[in-house]
Amino acid sequence: MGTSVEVDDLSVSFGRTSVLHGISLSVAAGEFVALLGPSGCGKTTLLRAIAGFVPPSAGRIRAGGQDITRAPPEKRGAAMVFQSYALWPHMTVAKTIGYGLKLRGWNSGRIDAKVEEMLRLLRLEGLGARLPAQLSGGQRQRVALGRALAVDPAILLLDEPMSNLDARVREGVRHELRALQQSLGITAIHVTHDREEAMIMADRIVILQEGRIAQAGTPEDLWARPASAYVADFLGATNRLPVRIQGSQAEASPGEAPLDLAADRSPPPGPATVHFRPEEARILAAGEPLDGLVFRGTVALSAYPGGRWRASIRVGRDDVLVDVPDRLPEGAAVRLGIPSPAAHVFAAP
Amino acid sequence: MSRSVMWWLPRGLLLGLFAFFIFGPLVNLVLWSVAESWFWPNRLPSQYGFRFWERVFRPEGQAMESLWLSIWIASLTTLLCLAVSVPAAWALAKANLRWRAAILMLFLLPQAFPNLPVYINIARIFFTFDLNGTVIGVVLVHAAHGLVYSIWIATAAFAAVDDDLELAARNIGASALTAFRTVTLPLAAPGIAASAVFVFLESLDEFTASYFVGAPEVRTLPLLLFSAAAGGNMQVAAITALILLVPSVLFMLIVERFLRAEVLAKVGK
Repeated sequence: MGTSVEVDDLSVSFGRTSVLHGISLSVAAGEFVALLGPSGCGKTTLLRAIAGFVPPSAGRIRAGGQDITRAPPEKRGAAMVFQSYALWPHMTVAKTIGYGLKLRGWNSGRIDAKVEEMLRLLRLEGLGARLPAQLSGGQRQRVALGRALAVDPAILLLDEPMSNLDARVREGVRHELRALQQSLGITAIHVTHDREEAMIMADRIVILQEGRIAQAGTPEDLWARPASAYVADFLGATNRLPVRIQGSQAEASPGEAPLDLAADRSPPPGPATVHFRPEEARILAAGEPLDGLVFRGTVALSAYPGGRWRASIRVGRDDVLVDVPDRLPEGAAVRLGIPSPAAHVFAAP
Repeated sequence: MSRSVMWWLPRGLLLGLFAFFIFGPLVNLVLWSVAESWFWPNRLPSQYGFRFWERVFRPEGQAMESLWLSIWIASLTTLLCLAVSVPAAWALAKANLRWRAAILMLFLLPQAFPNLPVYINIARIFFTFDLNGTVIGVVLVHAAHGLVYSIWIATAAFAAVDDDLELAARNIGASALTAFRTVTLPLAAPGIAASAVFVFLESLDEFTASYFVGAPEVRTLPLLLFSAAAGGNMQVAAITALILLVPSVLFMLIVERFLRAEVLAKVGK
């Protein structure tokens, strides 16, 4: 069974460079949390601090209520799957998976049985005698996972373990790993820069920005209500268009009805930016009303990525992408509608 | 047609030249070792035979005794160097020392000065400690020389082991020492073995320091070779040189197999 992890006001610096600034995070026992952010945001450092590889400059880390801030890596009950897999080139698959068990003083019969069980669980049967160099990328990844899982860790730390797999293999591994984590009831903390991976696998996502938590919540929560332009951008709302805030209303193109914003979501009056996703906007017929923001623009380009058409629409000086069911003729004047729930309005930077 | 001649002719000549430079002296050695009489102006020996081989390998001949002494000294030197260089190289490669580059340079220093004055001074100093003419004295002076190789190569070997490999072991319950013993050391072992071979061969071939510190009591094979050659006994000198060649070639083959390019690329990094 997993244990809870609490990170309390944790700071880490390398020399004079501060990497994490007062991170506080609590992960329930058995929960799957994804740390999401671009490279350099500190997500891997946070994971390595929890693993005990990086000493914090301030703050505390607790596992199952016990303070492990100064504990050496081997006394934390946390097992990590490394991005590089960190498999030992001189050890066979069976030796690698059995390594932690041998340290725990298991006799060889018990180790062999457990290793067999892990090999079956990870679909690596018959590969026990192979060396890492004789395995495919996907198999190496599963061996690294097997080494971590064999010791029955309370906490599983995953450092972008799927970034070296090709896209098709990755799809399958996501679901397998999630199912495995749930059936074993381990607490998992997963570092990734892949939004979709985080959404699919995690109970809760923590988005990091330059060493601070930008927003934390369930995938649905973050998707529907990003708290900042940074989060919206990271969660696929990459289109931006300028709007004006008047009182609690946002105005788009002149002549279109303004959108009433909820009091807690309204930025201060003045220039602002609306963020939205290509698949959530649509093209409106002339005179069609919409509870949302409406912009007038012209079609600059249409492309067919498969399934639906993707149109590039020019609004004033900005270009935005919209997914539409049919091809739009280039140069046509269109009304671009962003429904109220899809329009994320933030003060202009 | 002419193009193909232009292609192989310079290459063939160059290769022949290289072969001559490498094997010419060897052929000369072999000839001398089996020459029972070879006087000027003869191009080749006038009489061949294994008389001198028999003389060298005779139980009361000094060659075998010197060979075993040389091997004994080389072994002790290698052990001493390893005892120092394994922990030192680990610290230099992994422990983020502040003066890392300076320390590595320090071990190069003995090579930076002319050998002769250094060894004469060492001989003077050893004389006051009664180390002159002792095996320990020779081992010490060989080790000072061998540490350059062993520290630099072993540091590179440790640096070539990814930190994450050790952390992966720590992570699932290994103490720092266990992780070092089961992961880092075995992975660095080929590099360390190669450094040991270098130290061993250097010690085996070493002449100058052995001469000043060891002679005449400690008579290593190179010293024997020197006195044979100086006494005009070219046959014994040639045979001794051929004996010295055996471990060199043997170990070079081993090193070539173990020391990978990735390890060498880390030297000095």
